[in-house]
Amino acid sequence: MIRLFLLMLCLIGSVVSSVSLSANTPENIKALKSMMPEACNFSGEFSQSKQIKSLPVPLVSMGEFIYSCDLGLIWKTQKPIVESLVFTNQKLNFLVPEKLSVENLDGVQHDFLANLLLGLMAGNTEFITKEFDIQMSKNDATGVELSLVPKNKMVKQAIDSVVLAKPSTKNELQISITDKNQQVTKIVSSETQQYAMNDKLSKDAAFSESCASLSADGCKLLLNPVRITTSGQN
Amino acid sequence: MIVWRSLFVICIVFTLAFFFQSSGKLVVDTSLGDLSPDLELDQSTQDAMDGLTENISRNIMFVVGADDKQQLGAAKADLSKRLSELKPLTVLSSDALSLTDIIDSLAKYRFHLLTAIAQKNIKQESAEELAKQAQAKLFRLTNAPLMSFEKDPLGVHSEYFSEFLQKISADLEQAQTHGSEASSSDDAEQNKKHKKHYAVIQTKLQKDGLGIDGQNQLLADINTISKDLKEKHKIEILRSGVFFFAVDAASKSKKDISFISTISMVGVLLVLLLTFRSVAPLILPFLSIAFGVAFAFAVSHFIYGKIHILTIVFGASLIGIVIDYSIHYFFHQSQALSDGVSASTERGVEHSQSRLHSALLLSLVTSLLGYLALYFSQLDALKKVAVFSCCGLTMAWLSVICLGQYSSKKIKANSAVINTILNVFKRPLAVFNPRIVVITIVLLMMSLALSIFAVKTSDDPRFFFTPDPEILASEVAVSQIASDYEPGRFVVISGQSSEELIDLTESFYDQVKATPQLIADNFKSITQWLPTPQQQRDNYKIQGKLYGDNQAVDALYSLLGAEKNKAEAIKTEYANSEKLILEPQQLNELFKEILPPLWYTKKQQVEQRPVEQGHENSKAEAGDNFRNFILIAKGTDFEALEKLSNTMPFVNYVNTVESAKKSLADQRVSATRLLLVAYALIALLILSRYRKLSALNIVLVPLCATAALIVLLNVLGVSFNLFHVMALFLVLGLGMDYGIFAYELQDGNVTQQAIFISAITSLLSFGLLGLSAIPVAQSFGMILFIGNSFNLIASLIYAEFLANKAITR
Repeated sequence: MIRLFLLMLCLIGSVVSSVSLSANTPENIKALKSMMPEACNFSGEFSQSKQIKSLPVPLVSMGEFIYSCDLGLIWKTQKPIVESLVFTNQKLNFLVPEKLSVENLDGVQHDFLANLLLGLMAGNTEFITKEFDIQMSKNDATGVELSLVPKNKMVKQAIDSVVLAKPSTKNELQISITDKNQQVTKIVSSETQQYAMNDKLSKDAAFSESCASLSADGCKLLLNPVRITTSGQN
Repeated sequence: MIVWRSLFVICIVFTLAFFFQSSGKLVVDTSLGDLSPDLELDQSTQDAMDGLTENISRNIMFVVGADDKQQLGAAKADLSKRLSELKPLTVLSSDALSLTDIIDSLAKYRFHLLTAIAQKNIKQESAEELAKQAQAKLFRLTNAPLMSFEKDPLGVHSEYFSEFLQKISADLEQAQTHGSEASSSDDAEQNKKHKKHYAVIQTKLQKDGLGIDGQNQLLADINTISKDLKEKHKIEILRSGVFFFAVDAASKSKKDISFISTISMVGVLLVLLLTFRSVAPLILPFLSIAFGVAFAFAVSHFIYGKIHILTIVFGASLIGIVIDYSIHYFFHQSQALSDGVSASTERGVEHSQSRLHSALLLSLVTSLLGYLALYFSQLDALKKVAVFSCCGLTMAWLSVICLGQYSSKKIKANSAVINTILNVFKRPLAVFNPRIVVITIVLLMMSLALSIFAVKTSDDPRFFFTPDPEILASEVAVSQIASDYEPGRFVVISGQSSEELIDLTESFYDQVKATPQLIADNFKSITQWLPTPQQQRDNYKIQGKLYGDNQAVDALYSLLGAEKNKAEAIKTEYANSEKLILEPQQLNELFKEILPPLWYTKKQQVEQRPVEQGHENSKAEAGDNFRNFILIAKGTDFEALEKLSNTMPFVNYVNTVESAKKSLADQRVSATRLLLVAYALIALLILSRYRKLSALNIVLVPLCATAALIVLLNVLGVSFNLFHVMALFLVLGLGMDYGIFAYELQDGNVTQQAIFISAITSLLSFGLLGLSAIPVAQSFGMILFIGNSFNLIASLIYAEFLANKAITR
């Protein structure tokens, strides 16, 4: 009887260690922090793959991004379409298409994912622990994986979960977003350049040049975010 | 006599069968709605309002107040969790909305729904450009569509539902943060520092209602939870809802019932013992009370499915009236024995019994007339009291008639003791010789005539409720913090079809916008959540560019390298959806547990209109059976609104308090007229029974009592309300009782003793009713106590007059 009990304890123990230390424990938060970049201002590249059920092949895109912890993020898709997403620290988000006019990017999902990205880039564990339940697991391929489940029921009904992984052998962050329709968007981002800490980042030549070359309109919005007024909006 | 015995047996059998079948499980109703008058609206509007008020009456709102936002968040979550564990309560919030369910329910209407931006974009751009935009959306990182790709390849429907759901959440979510001034500080800086934050939790009581025990248990649980959380989080918890008033009223009623029934029974017991100095005479009276009350319970519960607590309160006071039949029976029997009417003299017994039964019957009829008048009020509570009381009185009367003969023939009233007391009481009345009586009557009638024009009236329905001050204070505080809308006022738009009603609602809003004193945003209608039917038809046509052949969806599949035939399913769905217009009724149904039923459609109309098969909207339906309730924000200029509504025949501005006031006033006036008719009918009844003009003097007993009562109340400055007038019917009935006995029996002292004892027991009951915590019962009790006191005086004088007349003869 005692042997059976001990066996059960072992089984339970092994299951626990392979699945998760659930909720936002210090270990999870530490693991999350370790996935976050250390630099304040940097740029990089990304590739994205989205599998839609009824389509035969996944939708693959790639692009570049530039981030400033004081200003926000420009996320520019370059292939197969060209458009930039601008997420500012002032909680104003914009869509900068290639040929059309700039639009405000409104909506719970956009705001939420923007805040998630900004939080990840800024190393802001506070936002993530407030908005998500974090579960940690280990994977042979990617090492430690963090599964973020939204706490907000409204968000939960659009976004099922977000999984973060940072393989130890590669300098990249892997993000998988599963939506309510069980469609998975996988993003792999890697840092390519860092910029100096500068009070007047706008005057930092390297950053300004990179920012403007990536997206001139986007850069203007990042430096001076103002809500766009069109005939259809207040 | 056979008839009465048969009836008695039938009633006993019915009562026994009822209690056996119900296994003693009686449902006691504590709903305050029975005290609300109908508001003189047309039937459809009244039905719609009944549905609305039933729904709203199940709302219970909690407001959590804290100094710190974080503290507030934790406390709110904790309170929500604890409240959700209570079975009779459902915690509502926009978080609890199942968005999947909402989208699934509304998905079939999506081809008629577009955001303003989408409408413009689709009109402006070509199909190819729209396809490219949709492709870009698919690649966009932050795009998380609410619908699957198969159902929404172009992403327009997800955008619509996202905007729609945000709008609903914003409207439903009442969490507000207020800065409240520090209670004792005038310093602005100080005030800034002491800002309080509030969060609202809405809950709904289960639909089937709770019994008294269930209500008390729920209240106890809520109190426990509040106490625990206040201590744990150092927060303030306020609450509001009809539930708290109902429990308070039920608790007060229960106390009244115990108090009145106990004291009445003890009082009656003492009076009977004092009068008859024996236990034997107690049997018949208490049997008549038991049978009367049991039968009344059984009939009321059988008819209404439950028994209202106010009925029981009034029922308790019936004890003092029901006992009269036994008292008269024993006094008459006692007198017959004294007169030497022997049991062996069959004719003598028959004659004696016949006179008694005749008097008792007439007494019952006049009492029934008095209580029946309550049935003609429009208040459900009074109707139920009428049914209960009439059944109770009738059964008690039958008990005495049928069982009296089995009571001991040796029962004798203790004349000496009663006589002594009665003489003391009558001493001041000795001044009333016939001449003085006539002068008094004339003066009384003149005073009545003058008083009628100076009578003060009060028809405020708020009189019906005297809530606990703490409950009321909490209700007011919650209203100030959490509720933006006027609780007792709204606009009702009437129409003959759904589409017409939407158009009329739009017209109303146009007129509001054109009125400088009114703000359109102050009026909340369910129609604001969806486009008009015409707009929906336009949206459908616009989406032809998306789902027509070789249009945007075909172009998108081509861009994505997918087979074109994959788009056929959605194109077919679009083609088949032309007639599927989303109506407010569907939204009402979808949000029925969160929203009150603001959109009313008569049920048979909905069943006859199979929307799923794509029927045209109901312009062909006859009848004015569609109603739209529009909520009004606080601070609206109601005078301007009333003026505007008077210019629009399909708009009805309802102010429930004012409407209830008017309804009560109208009822008071019609009840007063009915009282005059009752006097006339009773006078005719007396004339037809006795065929002597002098018999009409009987009617003078209650008439003088009523006149004296009205004059007295006028002098004291008491305002008359509907319940005072209703009580005058009972004064009439009881006064007729005493007058009839005085006239029928004319036994001088014995009759007066019987009347005296009978009146004392009634006065005891009514006096106790007058001490009730319930204003309605209090009004009744007070009027009946004073009125019946005057009845007693008038009937003693009348009995004395008849006795002297008999002696003279």
